[in-house]
Amino acid sequence: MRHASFRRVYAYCICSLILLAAACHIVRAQQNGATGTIQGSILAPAEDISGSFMREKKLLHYDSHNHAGEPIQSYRLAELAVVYIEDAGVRAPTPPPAEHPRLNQFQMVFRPLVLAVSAGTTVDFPNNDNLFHNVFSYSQPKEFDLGRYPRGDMRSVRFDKPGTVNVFCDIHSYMYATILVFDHPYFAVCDDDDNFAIPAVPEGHYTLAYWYGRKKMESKRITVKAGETTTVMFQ
Amino acid sequence: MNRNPRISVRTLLAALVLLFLLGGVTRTFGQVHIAGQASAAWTASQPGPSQYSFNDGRSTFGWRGDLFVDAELSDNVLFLSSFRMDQDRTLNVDLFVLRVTDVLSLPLNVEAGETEIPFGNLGERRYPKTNPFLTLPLGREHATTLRRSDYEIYSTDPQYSAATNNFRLLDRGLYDLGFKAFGSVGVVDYAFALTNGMLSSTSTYATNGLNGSKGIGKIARLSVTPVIGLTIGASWAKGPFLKDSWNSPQGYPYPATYDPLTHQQRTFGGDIDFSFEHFSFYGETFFNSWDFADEYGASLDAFGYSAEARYTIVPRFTVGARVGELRFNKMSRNIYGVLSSPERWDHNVMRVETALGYRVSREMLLKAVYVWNRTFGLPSDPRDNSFGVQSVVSF
Repeated sequence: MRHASFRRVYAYCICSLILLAAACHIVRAQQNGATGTIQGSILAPAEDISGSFMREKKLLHYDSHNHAGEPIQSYRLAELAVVYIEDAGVRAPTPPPAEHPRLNQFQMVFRPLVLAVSAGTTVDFPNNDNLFHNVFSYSQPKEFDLGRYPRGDMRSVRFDKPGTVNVFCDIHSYMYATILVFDHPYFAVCDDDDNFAIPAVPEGHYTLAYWYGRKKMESKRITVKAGETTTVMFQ
Repeated sequence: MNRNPRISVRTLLAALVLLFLLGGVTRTFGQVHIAGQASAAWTASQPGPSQYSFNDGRSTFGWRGDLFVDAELSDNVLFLSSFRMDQDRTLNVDLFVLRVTDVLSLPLNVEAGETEIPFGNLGERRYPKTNPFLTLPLGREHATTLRRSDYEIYSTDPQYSAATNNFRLLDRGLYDLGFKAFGSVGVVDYAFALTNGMLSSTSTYATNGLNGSKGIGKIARLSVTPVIGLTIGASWAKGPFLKDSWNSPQGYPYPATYDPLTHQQRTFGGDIDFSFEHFSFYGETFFNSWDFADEYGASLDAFGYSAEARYTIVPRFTVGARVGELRFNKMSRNIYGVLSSPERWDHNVMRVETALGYRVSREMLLKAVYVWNRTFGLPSDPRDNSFGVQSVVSF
């Protein structure tokens, strides 16, 4: 009985030591500059999500201004897609950006559709429409309800816990957006040429994931080597 | 009680048209949008002699389903519909319209079919998910003492609603067959509709879906939104509400001089919708008049109002309260050439509702509602308060 208990404690200690060593290795690798870069492209053309929003907007039964209105601008891939490391293995919090990222309410949709931030970041929610929205989320990492505020006004929310935050409008049921909150800095959005780059990634084996619109689309196992660039293509 | 589902010819016809339309639209455009709400409720009321005493005071489970089937047929042509069922198992086709938007690139939309009557601004509050209470405002629910079957008033009968064919002032969700033009110019919204029926006798609850009057109802609404979050509206309606021909249960026809077009319903209404941050307020008031000069020597008038407020205390939790009142005029009845002393043709009533709502998730709402009713003019106020809980999911 006592032996079994001792073995369990011993196993915990060994596992903890291994994990600690791995974490130290990653941190040291980062400190020593033993990092590489992940870069790549998203080859899939951006789906015209704005079209489906436009349709749902027109089909609102009780919108008193019930007509098509201005066409919704198509989303750029940078507003739709985020590439990130799923299993960074160690928390590497980064200081929040000096300028708050924004999740705009414009043309009765959220822009961008996906926003990636580090834990501890405050996100601004400006209303740029000439009507009310009521932004809210009941997601586990952060629950909030911003209420109704007019055009030109803004509310802010700080996201401290990592995870996926689904954001909706209580008035316009089709409006949604996702905020991905990470406890590490290894994520990126595409540039205008659909390319992405995640610099200064400690060498090691990782799972690289690709989020598009409302869900995670694909993930790949990759190896990052010090001083090298790992190229990944998502289709 | 063994009750068979009642499916009318109208229902079957609507379902067939819908299936045909869905088949075509899905195949051709793939632009169909289907959504809905389902709710289950438990209600218990006091067993008083009143129409507000739900199910004779027995605690009761109930359910309701709303299905919205819409399609974008082209850039500016839409099909919109909503279907409603409850524990009565009768399918009600509330909305069933073909809508053309931005006609001639003007701020003009038109639609035809079973349309939402532009009286008041009930909007989405008519659905359980967005209605913090279990019922609609009092003026849309109260069954008056005037019966559809014989156009008699039964103000002395406290259980008059048992006949189940009493006129309402505003007929619940207010849908009717007709044509509607609407749009917005700047901060002003307008709507005008021509309908088969009238506010108190829409086709939704008619037996065959079509009204039996040769007259046409005319309804208009004008509203202004001076600042975001505040909308003030005024509505007007006029039209015949009685059938062209009628035989009493005893087989008596209308008098030869009867003309349903001389029996008009005239209604004026005002509404206000205000919201800011976590607070919202909605109020409506109306004055309704039914012409009954020949029968009662006067019109049957009613005044009503309803005011409701909601506040989200913290995310997920909302509290709400609503107060509503109906007042009826006094009139003398001509009984064998002798005018009776003036009396109200219906009892003034008042209702106060309080509600607590909890959002389990974005899709699911739980609410608990207490309803306090007061009827004036009876020897004693009937015991007809009620309490209910309801869960609603949207999909």
